[in-house]
Amino acid sequence: MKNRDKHIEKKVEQTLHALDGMERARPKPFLYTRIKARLEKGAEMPQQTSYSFSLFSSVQYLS
Amino acid sequence: MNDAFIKLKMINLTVKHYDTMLKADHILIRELKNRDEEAFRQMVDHFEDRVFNTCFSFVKNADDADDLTQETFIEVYHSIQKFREDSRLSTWIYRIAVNKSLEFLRKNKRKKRWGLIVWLTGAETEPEVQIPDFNHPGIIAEKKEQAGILLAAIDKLPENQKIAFTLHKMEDLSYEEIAEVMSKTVSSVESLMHRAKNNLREQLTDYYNS
Repeated sequence: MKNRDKHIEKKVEQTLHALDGMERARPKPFLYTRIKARLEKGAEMPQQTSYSFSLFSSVQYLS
Repeated sequence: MNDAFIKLKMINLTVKHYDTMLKADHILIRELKNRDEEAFRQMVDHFEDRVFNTCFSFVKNADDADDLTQETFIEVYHSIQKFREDSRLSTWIYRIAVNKSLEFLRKNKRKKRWGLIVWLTGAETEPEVQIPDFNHPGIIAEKKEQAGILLAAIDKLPENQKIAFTLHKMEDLSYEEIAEVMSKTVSSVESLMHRAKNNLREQLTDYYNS
C-alpha cells in the first residue's frame, strides 16, 4: 500500500512538471497580413511614416 | 581609416542594432499612438508568438487561437490611445490576450449550456458538445500523455488560479509579471499558485488512484 502511494505521489509530481521547458506554439505564417486585412475591412489602418510615404512617392514618380 | 569613416560605420551599426531589436517601450508606444504602420508591424512580429501561445493555452484550438490573436492586436491598435503606460506594453498585451481568451471560453460555455437546454426541452436531438482535440506542438513526445492529463486538470481550476498557473507554466512569466497582468499583488499571485498546485495535486492523485 505504501509503495502504491509513493508510486502515485511520484507520478503526480512528474505530471505537475509535464509542461516544464515546453516551447511556444506559433501562429500560422502571415499573421500581420491577416490582421491588416481585418483592420482594412473594419476601419482604417495605421498610416505609413512620412519617410516611407515620401520614398514610395519618389519611386512611383521615377517609374 | 579616418574619423569620418569610423563614425559612419558606428552609425550604421547602431541603425542595424536598432532595427533588429524591439524599440524601447516608450518609443514604440509613441509611434503606435502616432499610428505608425511600421511600428505596428514590428510590434505584431515581436509579440505574435507570445499572444498566440497564450490564447492557444486557454482555448486549446489553433484556429480559435489565431482568431483571438488577431483580435488582440486589433484591440491594441484601437486602444493604444487609452493606454496610460502604467504597466509594460507586454503586460498590457498579455492582459488583452487573456481577457479575449476568457471571454471566448465564457461565450462557448453559454452556447453549450443553451445547447443542453434546447436538447433537454426536446427541440434538438443532441446537445452541442465540443471536445477540443488539443495537441500543443511545444510539448515533447515523451511528455504528451502526462501533459494532456495536467492540462485537463488545469481546465478545472477556478479562473484566477487557472490564469496564474497557465501564464507561469505556458508563458514562463514570473510571479511579478503575472501580478502585473492580473492587476494583483505578488503575494496574492503566490497564494493563487499555491492553491492551484494543491488543487492540481488533489485532482491528479484522484486520477491516478482511480
